[in-house]
Amino acid sequence: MHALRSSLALASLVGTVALAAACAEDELLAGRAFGGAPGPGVKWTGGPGEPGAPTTAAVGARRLTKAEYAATLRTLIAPEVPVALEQLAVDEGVPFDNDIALQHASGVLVEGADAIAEAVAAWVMTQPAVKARLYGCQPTGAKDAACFRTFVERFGRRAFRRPLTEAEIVSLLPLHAASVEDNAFDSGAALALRAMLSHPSLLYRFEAGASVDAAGEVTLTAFEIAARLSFLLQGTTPDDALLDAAAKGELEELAPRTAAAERLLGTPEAKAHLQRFHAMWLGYSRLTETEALARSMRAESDALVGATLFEGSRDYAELFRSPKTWLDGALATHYGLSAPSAAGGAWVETKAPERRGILSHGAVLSYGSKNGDTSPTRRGIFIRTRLMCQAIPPPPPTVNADQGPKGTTPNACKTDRYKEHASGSCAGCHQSIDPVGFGLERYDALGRYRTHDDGRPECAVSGQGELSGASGGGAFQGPAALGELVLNSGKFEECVAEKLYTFALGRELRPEDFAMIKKIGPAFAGDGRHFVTLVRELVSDYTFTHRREEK
Amino acid sequence: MKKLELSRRAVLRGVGGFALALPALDVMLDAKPAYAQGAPVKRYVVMTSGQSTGQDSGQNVAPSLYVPATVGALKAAELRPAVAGLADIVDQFSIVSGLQIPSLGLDGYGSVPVAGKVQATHDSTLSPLLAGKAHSNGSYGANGATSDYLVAQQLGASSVYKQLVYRVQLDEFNGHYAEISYAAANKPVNNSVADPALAWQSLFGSFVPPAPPAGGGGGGGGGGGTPVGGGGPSAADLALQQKNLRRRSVLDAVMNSAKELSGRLGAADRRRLSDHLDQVRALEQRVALLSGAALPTMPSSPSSPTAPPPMTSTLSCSKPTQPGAFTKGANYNDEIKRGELLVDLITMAFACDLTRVASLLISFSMPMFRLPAHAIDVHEEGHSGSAADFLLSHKWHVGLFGRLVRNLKALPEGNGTVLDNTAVVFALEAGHGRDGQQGEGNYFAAHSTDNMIMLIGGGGGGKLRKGQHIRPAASGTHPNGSAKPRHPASVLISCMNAVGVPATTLGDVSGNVPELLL
Repeated sequence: MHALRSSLALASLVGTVALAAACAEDELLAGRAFGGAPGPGVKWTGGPGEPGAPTTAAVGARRLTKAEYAATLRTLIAPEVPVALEQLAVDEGVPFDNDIALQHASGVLVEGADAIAEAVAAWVMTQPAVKARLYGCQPTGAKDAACFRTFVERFGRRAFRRPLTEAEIVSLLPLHAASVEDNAFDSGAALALRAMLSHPSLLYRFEAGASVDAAGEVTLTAFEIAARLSFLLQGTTPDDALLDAAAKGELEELAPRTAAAERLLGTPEAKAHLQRFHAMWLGYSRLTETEALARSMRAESDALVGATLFEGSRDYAELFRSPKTWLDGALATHYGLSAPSAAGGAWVETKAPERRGILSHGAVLSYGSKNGDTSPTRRGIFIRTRLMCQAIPPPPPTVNADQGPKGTTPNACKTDRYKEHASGSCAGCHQSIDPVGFGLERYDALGRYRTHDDGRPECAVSGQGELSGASGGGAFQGPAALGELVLNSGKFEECVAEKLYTFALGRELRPEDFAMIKKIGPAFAGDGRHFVTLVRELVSDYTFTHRREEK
Repeated sequence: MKKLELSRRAVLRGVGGFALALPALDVMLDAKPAYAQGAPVKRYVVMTSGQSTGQDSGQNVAPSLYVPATVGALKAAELRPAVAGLADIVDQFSIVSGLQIPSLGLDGYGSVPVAGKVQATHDSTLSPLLAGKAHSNGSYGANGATSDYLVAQQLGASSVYKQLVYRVQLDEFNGHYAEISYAAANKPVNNSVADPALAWQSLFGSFVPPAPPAGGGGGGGGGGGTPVGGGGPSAADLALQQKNLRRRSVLDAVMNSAKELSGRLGAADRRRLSDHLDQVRALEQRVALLSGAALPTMPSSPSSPTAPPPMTSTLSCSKPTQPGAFTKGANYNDEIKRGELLVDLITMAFACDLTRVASLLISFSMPMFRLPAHAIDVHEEGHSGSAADFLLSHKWHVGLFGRLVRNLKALPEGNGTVLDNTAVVFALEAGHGRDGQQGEGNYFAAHSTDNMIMLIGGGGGGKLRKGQHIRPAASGTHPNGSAKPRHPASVLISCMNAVGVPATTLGDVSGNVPELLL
């Protein structure tokens, strides 16, 4: 169900009719209805305003996600600051948690942020070193109004990601009264800290801009550019160095902005953040396996994503090709492999092709399982929508999308049951979907290798699949071979670009956004598929420092 | 606003007061017993359990895990397994059975029926069940106002909280998310609160209970906190009032310092900021009310309460103990403990008259969490679970209903109990029988909305029949000429009527269930 639903928005985006009959290969699966035919393109090298130039995106003020808020508090206060994150509501969104269209003003958010800010401020007051660093001055006594102001100004710049206006400072200063009343500087400072940590200027990423032109295009301030960089690359608020660069007016310029992006990409925060981005995109940010197994699976996929992005050749294809995987004892046992000697896990060279690349990971293979078994349909949809950015329409309302096909004879093997999908009106879509999933059928719902249906030795699983398609499709068996077909499909690089840009904007892409994909996708493809190339192309573009008002 | 006499407490606060730029507190309301003001206070609760928690997990548990063999008075010994644990309160609730949400593909429907569902998918049932509207495609939420929201507009008009919106299941399903309470089509009333610590903080973190009226108070209650005694405000109360003043000063500083930004934003972002600040203001006003202070006169705002509430405390209002943090896991997040705590907080919010309406989503349309020691998640249990585990899941859901009913029964009010003046609805998203995808003649489908049941606890102010198994007469016919069973939304209309909301429709469903009403 869920994969179909998630493709629903996609289907409406490309203006397709949600009927099975509309699933003809050249109609839907050929890719986007706009932006020209997909495929390896020529790197676009024009300038702003020239034909083909990316369009400045219309975006509004996003609220920080739960994860971003927690990371921001750690950046602002201290890495070890306790944050009771469960007090905030769940972030809705498929696959990404930062979709502005799903963010509503909420009393729970206000109350949760206030409670978290109160607890964080109280914690700070028990940490002399942290407190001194945040104050930025040594109060001469409870009544030291100058130091109070210094604190509000200094910390305010970090919290709001820009210098405070005089009016903002002035409206926070009355909180100093509590210091005077208690004869304790900390009393008022804790209140000011609490106010700033739960402030809409922190909770939302407002981009008021430095100027707005007649056509409504907003030129961002250097501080707003800093926030775009840090939230995109690290999932947190700008650090002091980045704010200082903004203060010097550096980030409007191309070279220092790219250099800043390179610096951020080298931080542990960036690695963890991009691992999380991949987990949402590839559907394993929340696993339903048992606690320990889920952790082990997540660690395996995080490790491969980290290594692909930041180590070795950095060719993104390694995500599908890597002959090594990170296993701990529990996961090795789960896969039926010998456990590595290191207790916490280790890189293991997998000789068998069965354990090659992220498509062989338990975390990814868990996606879409149901009724205790895999769903070849869901897996097929996953490959096509998440890795090739193709649109699959939802099933017509008269079709059972909840239960797998039952088959005509009792106890039919799975392959035979799914033959129901291959005839009649179902076939239009399912012939493009199910065979993809059947190529992964030798992995059960928990990613374990198998050669027959669970508990049914008489039902042999061939693991033969097919990725049909005009360009570069073909028969395959198993994850590694499927990965090669995806890589050769001519759709993959632009799909990665599309996912990253969707995450960067915090909303579904609109037709006018695809000029950007046409720029950065081919650039990524043409430069050894280095993920950082995508990032560099994105942040160096004119549109990264501009936005349009939402309609 | 009516000027009232300043209370002793308000005066005390002024002494050595906190010299911040706060709006003037010119009025303080004294506690007034609710029933002393006329008609008894009525209360309304809706609880739900998610789709695929159909009543037999594809196993033919005849007649079902819930429905007794005969209609009429419920007998403890004859309760079916899912509700067997309610034997001690068999006279305090009724089972309404034989309900149906009509479904495309059945009974002659060639398109989605009015207030019906598409075929057997998870996302299409919550809307007809709780709002009486067919769902909107792709949304798991309600396609119209839910009954609790409509009730809250009337019962909650003068409460600190118009309504509480809680949920037990913590995590969404792959990013898809539904609430239990909607103000309009796909417009949630609020994000539901899943964290009992936040729920407590919200209800009681700033709450200074008013002194009980002479001869009132005492007694236990669900929370096990410290009963509020007579006499003057305690040192703890005064300290909390001081803390509340500071909290308000923080919220005030937030509002004041955000004003300037608004002028620099475009229209859409200005709206975002203003919606957010409305919520900050609402919180500031709630803190004022909870602190025992009346509302200062505020510039009118759509979200501002229009009148100060009567801070009634005729019941054994006591502050429950603050819950600690819960354990966040991959697929189990202390649902059992949190469910109990949230039910107890609803209880005590009623006892302290902080609200009169509550909703509790026990599990989502996709209950993808795993109860301890169960082999698979609750959703999967509906499809392929062991009968024993599946029953335990049902008993857990029903247990929360039972807990609330027992809690409210233990709270004396007037000549009876709070339960007598409350309607507690427990609605399952699925039933027992056919589903549209598998067609006529196929029974025991996990997503069926045939033969649905609802549990109705409490007396609804003397208007609801208790201790009965009620099977309402069919009303009207389906396109194929077969008799059309009553819609679950009609049961909600009955409960709305019982608590004094004169609704004749809910969404696209008309008419109450006369058999349920006295």
